[in-house]
Amino acid sequence: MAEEDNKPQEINPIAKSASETPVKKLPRRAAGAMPVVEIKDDLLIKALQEKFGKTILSANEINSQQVLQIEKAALATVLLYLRDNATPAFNMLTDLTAVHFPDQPDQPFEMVYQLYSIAAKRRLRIKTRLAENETIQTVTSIWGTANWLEREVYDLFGIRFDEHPDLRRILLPTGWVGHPLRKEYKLEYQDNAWVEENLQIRALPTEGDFTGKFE
Amino acid sequence: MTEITDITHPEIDTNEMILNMGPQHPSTHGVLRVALKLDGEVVTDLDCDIGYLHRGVEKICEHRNYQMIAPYFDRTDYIAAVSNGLCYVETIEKALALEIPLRAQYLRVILTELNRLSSHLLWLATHALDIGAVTVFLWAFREREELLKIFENFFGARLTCHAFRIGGMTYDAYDGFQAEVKDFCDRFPKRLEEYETLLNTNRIWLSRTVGIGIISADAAIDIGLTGPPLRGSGVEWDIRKAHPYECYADLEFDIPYGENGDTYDRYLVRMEEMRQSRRIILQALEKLPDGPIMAPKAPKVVKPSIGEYYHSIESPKGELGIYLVSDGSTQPTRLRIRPPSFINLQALRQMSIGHLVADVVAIIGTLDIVLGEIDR
Repeated sequence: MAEEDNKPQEINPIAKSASETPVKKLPRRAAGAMPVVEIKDDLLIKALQEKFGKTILSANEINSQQVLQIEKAALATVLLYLRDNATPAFNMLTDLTAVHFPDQPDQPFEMVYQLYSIAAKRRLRIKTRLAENETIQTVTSIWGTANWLEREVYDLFGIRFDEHPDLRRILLPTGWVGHPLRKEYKLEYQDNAWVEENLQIRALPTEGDFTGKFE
Repeated sequence: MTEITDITHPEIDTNEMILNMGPQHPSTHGVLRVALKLDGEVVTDLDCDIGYLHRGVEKICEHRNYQMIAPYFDRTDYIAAVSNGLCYVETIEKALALEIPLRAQYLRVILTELNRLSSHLLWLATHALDIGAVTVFLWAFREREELLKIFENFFGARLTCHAFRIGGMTYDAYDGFQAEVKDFCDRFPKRLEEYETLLNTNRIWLSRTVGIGIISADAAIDIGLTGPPLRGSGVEWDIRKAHPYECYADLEFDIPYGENGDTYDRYLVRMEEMRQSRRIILQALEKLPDGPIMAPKAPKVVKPSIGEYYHSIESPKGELGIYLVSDGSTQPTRLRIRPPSFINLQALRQMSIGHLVADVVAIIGTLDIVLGEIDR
């Protein structure tokens, strides 16, 4: 019984090509996009656009959250302005992180700054793009929070921050080779040389498919 | 009689000394290593060494379907697994623009607040134990045990509680859940008073907490403190009030906040928070409506649209946020966890300098860190 059930499924290329494959081979970007609206009537955004002009590349509301895309060179001045002179003043850096897009080879890294104004209860996200091996100005002098967060980005993405007071790895051990949150870093990869030297454990085999990608 | 003059001791080395605290030190609440630079017994500088528990949760998330990611969040901050689960499912629901039935919202709030109680009780127990009050430890664990029994009945687990699904809840309340929670809430204020009689006027407790680890409101905001450490410095800010999620807008509660920003104020803030949590639970139990617990349109295959979303909740430790970048597939491009403990721990250096080694223990306790969340 079981064999008969299995056989038609295995030898049925027509059914596969007709019904299964189109579903599986849907392009990865087939889903719709989240609503993106350009910000127009906002005093803060207008003031920023007047002051910084073309360095503010875009100002959108993505899924009703305000996102500014700005040029890397203007980042530190815009952030300092937002902390000190803007109304409302964004006195808190909630989060700082990076995203890796290897399919955009010109500028594969995106730095993301989540700002918050406690007085106005308002969030603002600032993003800027980076090329491979490009460094970026630190914001530790603007918000103390940035110290460990930038260290984490350096540790996991390998992005270097200029003038950071203490740029060391934070989660991974010193001397580890590789930055795990880069997309080319496989899920089950480990620095075998480091592990053998420091933990005296025999390393994982380097051959074989250890992508760990769940399909 | 000979006159007493200054005598120098060239044979005594008066250099600063480096002392390693941890990673296996009981009062670092996990595997945290703190390298202290000491002048006598006074801390002149310190450096935190973290990452002993790093398992790469964010990397794993990029390789899992959205439903498969959820259990990983119970294991980041394992003391507040319910809050973490809530933050994750809410982020995905908001990205999907999914409405949750009212009953599920109320149940989620009740469970999250119960979890806040159990987390704060664990904080009180260990914090008091670190400072030397052993009785409080035993008493607080007694109450925590009752909460864990409720969790076990509800979720089937005591620590890695997981009943929230994208779109609602897996399990409805079991028979007798409301009565058990109500019963606990009725007894709880008496217990809180008992802890306070042990601590509030205790000379040892006061001398170990008052004026220790002071951080001003401005400094706290600059270093990014959130949660009770921020409120202890006098900033009245709570995400449940500032950006209400679930049904918090319909519930009445106050935000307690301190004045001096020292360890004692943070203690008072958390004690008052437990009372407020109890208030929220009682209101939510009263208002708990009947109805479905899963959204009828909850998708079986979760595919958020292309774009990004940041959402955060008030976890017992502070602001727990998730930044999701989706490419429209069943796996996230990036799922960043904004861990409150990680950012709060960064203030340890600033708060400890000038204090004694023993005070570092009190300050680590008052920051209420969980290493599982810091290292991820």
